[in-house]
Amino acid sequence: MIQIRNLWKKFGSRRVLCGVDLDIEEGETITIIGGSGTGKSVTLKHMVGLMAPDQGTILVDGVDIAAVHHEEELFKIQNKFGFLFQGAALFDSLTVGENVAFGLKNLRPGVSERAAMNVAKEKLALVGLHEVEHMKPSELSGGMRKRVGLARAIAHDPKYIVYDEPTTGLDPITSDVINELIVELRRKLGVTSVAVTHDMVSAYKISTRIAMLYEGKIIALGTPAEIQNTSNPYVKQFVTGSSHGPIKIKLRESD
Amino acid sequence: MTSYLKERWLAILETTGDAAMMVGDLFRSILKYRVDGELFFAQAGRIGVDSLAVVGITSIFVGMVLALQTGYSFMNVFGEPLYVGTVVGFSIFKELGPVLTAIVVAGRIGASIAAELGTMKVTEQIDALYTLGTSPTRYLGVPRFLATALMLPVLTIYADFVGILGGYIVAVGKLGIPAVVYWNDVLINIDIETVAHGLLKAVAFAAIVAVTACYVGFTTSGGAEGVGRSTTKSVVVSMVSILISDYFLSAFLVAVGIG
Repeated sequence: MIQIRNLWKKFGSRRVLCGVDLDIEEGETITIIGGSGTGKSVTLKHMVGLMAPDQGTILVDGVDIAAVHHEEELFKIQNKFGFLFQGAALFDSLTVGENVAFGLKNLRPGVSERAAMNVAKEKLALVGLHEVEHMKPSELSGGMRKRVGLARAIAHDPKYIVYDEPTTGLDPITSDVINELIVELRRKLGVTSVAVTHDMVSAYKISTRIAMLYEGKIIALGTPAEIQNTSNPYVKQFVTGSSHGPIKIKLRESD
Repeated sequence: MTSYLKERWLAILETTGDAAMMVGDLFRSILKYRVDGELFFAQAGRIGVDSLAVVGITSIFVGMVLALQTGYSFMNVFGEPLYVGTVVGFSIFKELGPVLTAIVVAGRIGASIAAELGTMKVTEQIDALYTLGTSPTRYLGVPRFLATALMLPVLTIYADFVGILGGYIVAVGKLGIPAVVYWNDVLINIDIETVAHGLLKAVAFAAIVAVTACYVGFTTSGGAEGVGRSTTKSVVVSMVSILISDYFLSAFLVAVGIG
């Protein structure tokens, strides 16, 4: 279980998170929605220890990741996570197979090169990719890169999978393929997942619960049906994608 | 104005502190973990072998122009081209060999390291390394730092010999100095301390180039524009630091009797 308590973060003078509280239960897929720049990805990066909060705690199975400063201890907690980055973040200098096997070799010491490559093949097959191990990331399409990123994230059988904008930049059909994969992974592997997105089609499809982040706080939390039928004007405006409502986006900096 | 200066001063202190922490992390990683031989040799090849041509061309012409200028200047003063080998030898071994090689490496390798690591940072590959149980300092920084620290002195020795050879071509071919006189001038005055003086400075310059490039690369932000900024910053900071530290290092080494 992941428990985020009173999380605060600012960059320079800009406050991004202003007391985020969120519980992520075992086995669920929770999606954090919110506009661009509201701190969704920042929240995710705090959860896996890539950023340190100004204030607050992030308990991962009871251990406060924000209080862990020793690198080896941090890696032990990060071992529980698989992270799918927005642009997949594949290592350009490595082949697809080496990318997927990379984390396995580091996070599971003692795994042989051959065993790691076999697991890489198996995970690539799980995300629907075959015979791509020897290709370089630059030879792949956007959708394929996301799938390789997903295979890399699940290679070491993590307890939690974190998705940062899993469908951003993909066409609707490829987006749906990724959504199906996320749902299938939860069903097959029983993992707990946290996603951030502003793609509501994706959010409704993959989530068991949805949380909305606005002005640095979680302002709504509920099942996809509850969020879809909410009476909260902020959430309603966001999920219907309307420019009219309480959320104001500046057209110009001078506005 | 005061608040701007205060802000700039705090930013400089913060950057220096962060860079010092990265250096500490680098040395801790070197002492604590086994260095990946494959990554180290890949970087050593890239830094050393791939720089041979540009360092060679730079050094041969520096040696040639040094011999030419010394020869003509001394001819004006003494009526004959005296001490050409001595001046070329001292200048190359103590100053021009290490400094010019470091500047070429800062331009060629420092820029490439900063751009590579900067691109990895803005495309979240550095974050991905953390989530895959790997320290970027250990995986990316250590091989680059050690390879630069080893290859820059090696390139400096190569540059020294090519520079002396350049001086020989002009001294013998153009100024008409007998080959044996030129070599005597070079060899009689160059001792082990003189060579050590240049090589110790090369090691210090290597640390400046590698640490600057890695630090600037790891702290890149702002997409493609940020990568461009980091590349330029790495080269400028390295070059200026090399030239400033050269004076103080030289003064220190001379004071302790090395060269």
